[in-house]
Amino acid sequence: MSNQLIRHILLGIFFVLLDVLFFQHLSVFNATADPLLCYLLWIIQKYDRVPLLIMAASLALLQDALFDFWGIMMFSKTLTIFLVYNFIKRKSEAQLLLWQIFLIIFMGALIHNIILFALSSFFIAFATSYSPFTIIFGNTFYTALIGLLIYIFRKR
Amino acid sequence: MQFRVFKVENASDYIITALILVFALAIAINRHQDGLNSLRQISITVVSVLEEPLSNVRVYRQALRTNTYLQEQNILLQDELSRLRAIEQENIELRKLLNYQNNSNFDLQPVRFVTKTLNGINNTFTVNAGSKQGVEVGMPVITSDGLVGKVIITASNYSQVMPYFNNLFRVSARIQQTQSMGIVSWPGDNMSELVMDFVPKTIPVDSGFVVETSGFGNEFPGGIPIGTVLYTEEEEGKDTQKIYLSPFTSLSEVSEGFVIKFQPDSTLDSLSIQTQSLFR
Repeated sequence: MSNQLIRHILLGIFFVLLDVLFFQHLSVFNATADPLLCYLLWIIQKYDRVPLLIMAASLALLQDALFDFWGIMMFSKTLTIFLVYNFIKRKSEAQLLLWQIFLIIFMGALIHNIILFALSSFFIAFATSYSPFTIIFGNTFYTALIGLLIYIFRKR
Repeated sequence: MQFRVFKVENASDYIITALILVFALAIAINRHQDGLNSLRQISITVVSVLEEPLSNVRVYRQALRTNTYLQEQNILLQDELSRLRAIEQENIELRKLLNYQNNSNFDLQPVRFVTKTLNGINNTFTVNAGSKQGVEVGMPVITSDGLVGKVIITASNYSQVMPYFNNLFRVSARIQQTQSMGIVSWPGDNMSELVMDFVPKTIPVDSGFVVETSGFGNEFPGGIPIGTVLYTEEEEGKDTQKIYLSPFTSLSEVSEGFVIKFQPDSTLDSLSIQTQSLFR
């Protein structure tokens, strides 16, 4: 296992903990950001699909455990990464503008949240106090915004 | 348009993804089983331990919100308390007036002071009773504490009152303890004293003596308290003394009172006219 992989796994755990301890309390109109998803979208450019899928599944399982979702995040994040992998991999070869970064994260988060909502509706795992609109669009927008900010700070 | 086609070399990606998804679904379906329940207990414990230090921040944020809410409530309660205190004071005053009305022999018309002008020499009040209620010009206005003034103008439902702090106000008075007579008026220099004139120097007057209306002059009934003696002052070159009084009724605080429906004795009036005609 390379040093880079270990560092990325530890960073992933850090983002999960950040989500549990910090971001879940920073809700805006009941919408919450998902920093782990931003992180996974960011490291797509650095890995092949299979190791990335395994890493995403593992980190999402940790997130599931800490949020007591058990399998839902793992499913939605794995499927999202699988679906957007080729597109982001291609796009990351070019220099992107800020609005393009925002749009890519927005689309990724939208796919993730639609899967999440569909699956959670299926299992009736989510508390019903969340409205579909908030989960699909609110969380998506908020996640994309946070991802963009992380990107900006990382660049500086 | 170019479509992406399935490639055999990517089959492992699909298989691994499918396996992960099936595993995730299996976990989601079996989350309430015994095996996962113990894991859930561990994860809940871990989250609780991690979140405990941050709970203080949430408590602080909640305390700030509670503080704002309590401040709003405090303002509302202060306002309510202020109004209740005013009502309590009014209640005490009305009870005193009611008690006075029950024990008085006069025909009394209860009134409320609707306007007060107490900033000059010609001070006036307005009360909410007029000719329709039987109020007439010259009738005395009192509270349970004592004299306030007299009616000078009447309208149908309102009357204007000249209070004792008016430089035109005069009332025939007597000192209760000595029965000596005089005229009470307002010197006009301050809003806390009245002066009683024409009391001979030979009459011993001490502070604390009570001064009341005499009933002479056929304008006010006798026995209405006016005030207590503060001090006396001998007048240079005259046989009389000035007696300074502290009035019983505080005009700045008065809000309710009575008009005494006092009718001057017409026999006394006609006698007075006849007497004056003898000396013309």
